[in-house]
Amino acid sequence: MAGERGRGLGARPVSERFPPTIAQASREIRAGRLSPVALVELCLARIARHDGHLRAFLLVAADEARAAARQAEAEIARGEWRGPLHGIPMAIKDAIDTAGLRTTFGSRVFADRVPAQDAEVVARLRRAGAVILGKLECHEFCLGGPALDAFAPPARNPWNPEVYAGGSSSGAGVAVAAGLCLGAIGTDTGGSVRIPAALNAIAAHKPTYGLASNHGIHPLSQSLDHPGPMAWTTEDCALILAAIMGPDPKDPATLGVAPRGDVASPGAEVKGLRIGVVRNFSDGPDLGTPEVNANLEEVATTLGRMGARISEVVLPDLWDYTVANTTIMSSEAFLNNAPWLRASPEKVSAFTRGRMFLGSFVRAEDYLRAQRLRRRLAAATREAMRDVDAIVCAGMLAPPAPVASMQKFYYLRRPLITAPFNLLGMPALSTCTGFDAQGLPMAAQVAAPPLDDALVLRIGQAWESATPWRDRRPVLPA
Amino acid sequence: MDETSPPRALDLAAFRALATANGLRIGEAELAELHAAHGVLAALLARLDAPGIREHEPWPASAAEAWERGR
Repeated sequence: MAGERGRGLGARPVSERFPPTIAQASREIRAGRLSPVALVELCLARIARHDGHLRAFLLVAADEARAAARQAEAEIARGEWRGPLHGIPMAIKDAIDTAGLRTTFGSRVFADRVPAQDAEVVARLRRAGAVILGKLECHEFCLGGPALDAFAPPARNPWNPEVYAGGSSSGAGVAVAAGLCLGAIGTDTGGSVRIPAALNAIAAHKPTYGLASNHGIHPLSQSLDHPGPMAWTTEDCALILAAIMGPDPKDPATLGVAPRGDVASPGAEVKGLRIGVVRNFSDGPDLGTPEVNANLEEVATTLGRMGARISEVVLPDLWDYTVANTTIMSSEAFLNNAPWLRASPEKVSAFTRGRMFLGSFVRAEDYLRAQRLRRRLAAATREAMRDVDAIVCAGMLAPPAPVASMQKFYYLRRPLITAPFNLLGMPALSTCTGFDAQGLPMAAQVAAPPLDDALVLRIGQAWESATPWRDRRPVLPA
Repeated sequence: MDETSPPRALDLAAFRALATANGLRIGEAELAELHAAHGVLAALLARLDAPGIREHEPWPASAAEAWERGR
């Protein structure tokens, strides 16, 4: 295979090696010690070896990726280095348009759809020199998984293929964890980059609402939708976010102001930071498991040892955020997808159809009450966070269930710990905080007031630098 | 719930009629499952009846904020 022993990648067959992080690869590429072509070949070899089992990719654009890698290599050789993503192989959730590459939104309704233009975030990645490897499995219309009757079956969790890999950016979580690409772009309306991050032991950042453009991304719920970076480390998420963020005239919801601090280089120091631990999201009847709560205490203790000033922050009931988020999302999701739900419901998977149909029964007055509750929760959250710089809470409330056991409306039975930060537009990071007794990943979220993305990334980077969890990779079947 | 608001939970016949009015093409088994889920959702939405929510500011709060967001 071409590039089997690529320059800068050592002597072992590349398909057996996990790729470096984006930050590591970028330093090597810039110094001329690593070839972007060899790096792309490494990823393609790993996809060929593992993705038949993992099902993370819906489309692999091998020829286009090889051509882009050759171009990157030539540019860098001429001294035309574009930045940290130049020559870095990445992949894109299939809810996000890619010019000339089929984009289906995970649905057979759009099985043959090939957009003419890139989404803004993809265009920015290409301008930054990233190499697009292909399109990643996503739950149908970013809502319907894990549906076994969907256009594409759900990607498999590399830590245990029988359990849920999270969603809706499931392919992205799996591909990054399995080392099939170095980074990905997902989308997050109630947790769809952070949930697969938590369940696959990677990092993902949901930015401040409006920091990155939604132009060219299939809308689920416009006031809750956020594109976000997913990668093995928080450091890599920061590099991706720095490349994709910024105002976009094609998306009027993008912000005209810059985030505070240096997003690309947020630092890795928590000494003196005031971090509030949110226990009441996970510690209570029918909330987090004892293992989840014990893990959160370990996180708090470790951050304290690292020099952060830890206190407890009590936020409103997690169900309040969840109900507001679900009401708004369900209603907007039905509106956004009503044409094909009405015209061709048989083409939509049963999970997606049921969840979307449910949104058609939300009354206008409840939608409006949810928006008012949203306002109240923003005020209450801001007040509760008055004496801290950031908060940390659990990443998930429970370990992932077996895929075959998951019910269509499971999300109505348990509050969603990722939803508060969509509802309030706050930056929120999910990062790995260890492994449970079954060897499945655990995670915490770090969140802060809007525009404090760099602060959130700084805490995540500090955590990952001080803990061993980035050294552990899944064992993949041959 | 306000005294003037109709109940959120619907009996199956009313739910079926509303599904038809909403333009949904759906079989009986799927309708029954959806009706049960709607009952769960309706119970959750009771949180939207908490005192003061109806009088609270909407999101976003003001035309100026909306204007700023749209710049």
